[in-house]
Amino acid sequence: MLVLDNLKVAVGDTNILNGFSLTVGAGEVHALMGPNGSGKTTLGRALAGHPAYTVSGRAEFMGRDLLTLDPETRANLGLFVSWQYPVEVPGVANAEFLRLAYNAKAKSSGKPEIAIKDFPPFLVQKIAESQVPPDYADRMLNAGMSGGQKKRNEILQLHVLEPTLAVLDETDSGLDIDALKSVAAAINAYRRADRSVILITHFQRLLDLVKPDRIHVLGQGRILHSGGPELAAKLERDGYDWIIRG
Amino acid sequence: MTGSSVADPDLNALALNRAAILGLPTSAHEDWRYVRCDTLANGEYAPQRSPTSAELRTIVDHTQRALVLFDGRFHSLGHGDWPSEWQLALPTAEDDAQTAARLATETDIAACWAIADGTCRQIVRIAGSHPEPLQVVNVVSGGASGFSLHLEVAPGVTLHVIIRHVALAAARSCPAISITVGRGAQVRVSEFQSTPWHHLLAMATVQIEADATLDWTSVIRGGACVRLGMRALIKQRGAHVALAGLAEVHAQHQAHHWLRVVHAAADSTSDQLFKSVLHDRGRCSFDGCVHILAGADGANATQQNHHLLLSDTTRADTRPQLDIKADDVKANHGATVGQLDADELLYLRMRGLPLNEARALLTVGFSEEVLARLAGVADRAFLPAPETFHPER
Ligand SMILES: Nc1ncnc2c1ncn2[C@@H]1O[C@H](COP(=O)(O)OP(=O)(O)O)[C@@H](O)[C@H]1O
Ligand SMILES: [Mg+2]
Repeated sequence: MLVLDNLKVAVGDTNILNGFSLTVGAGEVHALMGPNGSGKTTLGRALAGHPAYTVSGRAEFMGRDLLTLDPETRANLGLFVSWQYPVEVPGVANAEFLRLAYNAKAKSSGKPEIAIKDFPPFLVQKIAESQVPPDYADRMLNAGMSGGQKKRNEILQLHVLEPTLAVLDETDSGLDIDALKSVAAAINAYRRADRSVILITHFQRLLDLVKPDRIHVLGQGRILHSGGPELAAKLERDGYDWIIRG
Repeated sequence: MTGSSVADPDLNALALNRAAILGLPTSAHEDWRYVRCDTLANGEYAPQRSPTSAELRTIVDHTQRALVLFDGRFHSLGHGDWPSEWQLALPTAEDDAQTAARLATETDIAACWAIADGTCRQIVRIAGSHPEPLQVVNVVSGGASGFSLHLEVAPGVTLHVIIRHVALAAARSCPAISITVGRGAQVRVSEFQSTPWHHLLAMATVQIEADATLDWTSVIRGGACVRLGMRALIKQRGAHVALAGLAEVHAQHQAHHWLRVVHAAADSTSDQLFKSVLHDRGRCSFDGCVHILAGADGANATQQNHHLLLSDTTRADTRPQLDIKADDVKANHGATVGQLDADELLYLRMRGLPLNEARALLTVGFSEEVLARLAGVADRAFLPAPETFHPER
């Protein structure tokens, strides 16, 4: 599904990722961990087509070369990258945005678009699936939402858009205990044999709820260490030092 | 009861004379500094003609009651019974004397033209609340025309006024609409420019009495020269005025807002929110001043003006001003001139929206703060269809 090979990501003259390689197969969940500033968010943004970065190396998604595509084409190909700090979009209604985004994807993949009148019941169903409060149908797009609410709003987007690969950037930060459980349940509900997840997180508690197949630790611009789900507990106990220092 | 038209030759002559003294505005004139005035000199207007019945039907459908002014003349009251709460009247000799006195010192050319080019000076006394909005339709077929319409809203009355400006061909129209809002009354005005305009130069005057509220929102699209002027006087304590406007301008059109709000009484509030969206070579300005007079203590005034530039050949000017002579006043103003937010745009694209759709959605989002104030206005059916305003596309 996703093949990253010797990926280099730079801002101006500064290399942030330097030889990052990772393969994610269909149906897999990979956790990406690593100290602050190690480049986790940068990886997601580079994959999504953020114009701030110069990217070289190989990034293949669904058999296509990602790096030549603009952000909307990547999204409509089935790549969803959540934002660590989702931007507030005042004046734009959540429901309107979700319908337009749904239809943009439908159009680009030759599927039928959803009519304005059919969208509200569809959205109600998606709100239930993603376990967000019902009033998210009437909210603005992230504007006026708390940090945690914005993260949950992106989980709603995940369920409406049903991407093939979701990169979730610290979706667990800013969530209360109940919200964390809802979000984890919503991520698990999204999982399918043909859908994959990259979970960026600092905390074991999310990985207890959404079981990863692999855990990777990012440092010095690349993956320094990988392991199975049991790595989460060790990192929680010992931190990253033993990996970063080698 | 019907309305009728009167032309007072003395007032017409006085207004014409005053207009001649003021001369055509130029950008050297303080109040017109942001306006491209050269267009006003070459008044190539279509000849005036009568409306066809089909035209009238598209302007006022058979269910609507409306005060229709055609080329500045009183034309009809639309259809059905005119509510008894809305009483039509003509100016008295005393009103005329006041108008003459005001003209002698009038500084705004549009206010002079409204009378010089006008045949209709109509008064409507709003004696009670009525569930329907009072519609005022300003239709022009060509030439230069004007009118004055005065709404006198009795104390405690609730009124919604919908004003539409419709041009069937190139014309100059100078409507002068004035409203006195009586004690405790609540007046809402929703104003629309429904067609592209040649020259629409409006000067509105409002006076607000104790504990009354006036809420006026206009949506304009510009033309060779479109300029909405507003003079608001908060006469008595506890009154509130909220003025809002959205200008979305294409091609080489221009649209301007010019406002003067005077707080003459304590514990009054005023709130201005003006936005513009500029495409192509569009040009917009906001020139707003709030005067808080001595004794108007505890007044609260806000002014917000935001321009959104969607091409690099547009021009936006902003001049929010405060003139405070009272104590214990709260006043703030903010102005921005900018483009669509790059992060917001990227966010929408990362969710699959093509660039043009993302831009359109954010533009609507920018406008929404003003449009939201039109809530309930016939589902916004009066909003002009955008395609009418893309002459260069
Ligand atoms: N647009 C940018 N401009 C300049 N520096 C950036 C930019 N994006 C990321 N960086 C830098 O790259 C490094 C990695 O940042 P980030 O990817 O946010 O780390 P993480 O998500 O792992 O905490 C940091 O040193 C950060 O300052
Ligand atoms: Mg980060």
